[in-house]
Amino acid sequence: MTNIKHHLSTSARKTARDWLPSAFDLRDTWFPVAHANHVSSRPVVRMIHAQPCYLWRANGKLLAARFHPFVKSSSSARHTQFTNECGFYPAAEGYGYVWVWYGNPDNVSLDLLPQIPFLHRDGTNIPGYMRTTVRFDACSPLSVENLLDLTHADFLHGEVVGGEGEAQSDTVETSYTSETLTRTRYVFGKPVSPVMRWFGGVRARYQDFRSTLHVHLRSNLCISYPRFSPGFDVPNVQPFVPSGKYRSRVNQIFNLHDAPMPFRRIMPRMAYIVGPQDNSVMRPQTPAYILESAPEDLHSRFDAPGARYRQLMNKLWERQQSGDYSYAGDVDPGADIAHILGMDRAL
Amino acid sequence: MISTQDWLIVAPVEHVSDTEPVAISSGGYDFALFRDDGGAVKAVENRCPHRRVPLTQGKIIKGAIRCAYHGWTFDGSTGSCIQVPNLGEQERVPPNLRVTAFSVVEHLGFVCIWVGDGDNPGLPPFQASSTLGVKSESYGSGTTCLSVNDYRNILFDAPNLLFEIPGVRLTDFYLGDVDTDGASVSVDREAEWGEACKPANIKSVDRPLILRTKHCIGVNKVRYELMTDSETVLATLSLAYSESRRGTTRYCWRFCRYAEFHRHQPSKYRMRFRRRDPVKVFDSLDGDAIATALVGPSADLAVLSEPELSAFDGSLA
Repeated sequence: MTNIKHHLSTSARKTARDWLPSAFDLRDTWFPVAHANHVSSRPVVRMIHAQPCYLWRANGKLLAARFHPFVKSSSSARHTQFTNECGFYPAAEGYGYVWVWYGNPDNVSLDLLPQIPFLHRDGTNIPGYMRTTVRFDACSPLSVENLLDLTHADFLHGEVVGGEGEAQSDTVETSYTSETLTRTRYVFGKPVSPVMRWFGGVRARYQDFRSTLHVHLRSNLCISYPRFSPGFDVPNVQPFVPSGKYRSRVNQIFNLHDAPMPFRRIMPRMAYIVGPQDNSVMRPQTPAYILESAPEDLHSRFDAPGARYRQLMNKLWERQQSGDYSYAGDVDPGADIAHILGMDRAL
Repeated sequence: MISTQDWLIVAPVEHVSDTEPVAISSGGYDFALFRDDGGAVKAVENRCPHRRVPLTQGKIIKGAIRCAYHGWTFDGSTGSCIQVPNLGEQERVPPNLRVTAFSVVEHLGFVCIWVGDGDNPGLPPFQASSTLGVKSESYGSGTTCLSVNDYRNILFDAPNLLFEIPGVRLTDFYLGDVDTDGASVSVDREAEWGEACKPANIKSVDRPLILRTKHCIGVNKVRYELMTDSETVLATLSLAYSESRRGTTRYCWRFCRYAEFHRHQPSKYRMRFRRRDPVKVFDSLDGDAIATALVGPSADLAVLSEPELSAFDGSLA
């Protein structure tokens, strides 16, 4: 009986060949691989799509290389298609991050560095407590999809975000280019989240919020701008840097200068509560998305942003597979996105 | 081409003596292992050709193995029967009385048996670890209730279910994917100092340790290298495995702890674990944990069958 049912279920449904998130290896993009204040004269290693990247400073100059600078027999080969002949990656510093170019070094351009309008370009005014580092036990696209997903928060993060499902109205808009996806959510009359009530001093029972999430597809860079009313803005950046096919790492930066104490200090720590909650579901997801023979996913109408994300990623991946790594005319990663996020103006 | 079954790594060298023969089932073979008068390891089929009694029930007499049933005695190098008790003075042992003998080498602390066609090609295809600075060395062997393919997968996906280095906490945060240098396939994961049973410190920005899993191509042997983030090796665990009877897996291992281990280990952990064995390779496995271990880097090996693994050119999907 079991065998017959299994046979029917796999043959009657299409297989998941159209969404293999671990397979994406999008190139020619800047990855914010480390918090700038974590890179010193002592080398630290970060992985980008399974490529080791050692970061350090020499005489104040930022360096990024495929090899450990102080180890002669470093296990990594020096020169690859991602480095120059000496084994160095193009690197830059901005918005509190160290950025490394992942792709053909000949195509590197600082103009392609994404703009983060609520952080200073020179990385100033970001206290240590507004930075966190979280590891996700899932590949980057699954992590981004989790962030785009609207309906899991009630179940997974209820005590942090509050009962969004109890709101009077909840609408979502999605817009996109060939390289970005923007999801804006408008919620009216939702119960104030516990963390904002008890640590942010918002005593009202209900609040409205507009939350914009701007995703750079190649780099999995997620720029988030939630605005709460009554309340305050909680802008933050979550770059999901792919360690490999199974894991991703997020160096998150908040700008909570407009938020009161102690919320300002506590909110970034929530990443260590929310992250493991997300991990509890994402850990088993990655292996389930490796096999092409797995049944295709089913969707509800709430999954529109995620479905669009899948479509855009597949399209971009196909284009890169055919050898086209260029940026199309509809996109300028370095352009000011303050208006897209709903900010009054960029810093 | 050498298949993964041509060399069988069956035991630490210390487990074979010249006083008691040792019975080992590996790779579909039953071996009787012993040392001859010169101290060389010998391996013959563990089955007397006379009445099929295991030769390991017998004794080692003057460097040869004597069956416990009728006293037939066999030379370990050639497998020839050199004595049949009660033969008359004028009689000699018929040359067709022989047991299958195998070519054996001792290599880097392991007994390795060649079961491929023809003469053995020299040494098994795995390299030595540095012996400089080795502070302590331990070894062992056993058989586990897991098929050889599942065992190999767990070696990559959840080594914490197979062994523990007291004072070191392994994580399953992989640093990159499965990679190859042509001679081995490897994957790195983060590790840190601490008690193995406790969860990893999620607030850690940079974990100070790396555990590299390095599996030889052409032989069922893996080497775990515990390293600092600047790739200073602190300890190595070499673990060889092979198919045993009834779907089980036989394994043998050697663990080296280097002086650098203590140099880097925080003093509070050095004190706490000073009376513990340097490594614990689990004799029995936690079935629930094995069953629920998530597929990770082993997914890149699952597509490779045995012969393909040996011919593996490094182009992982």
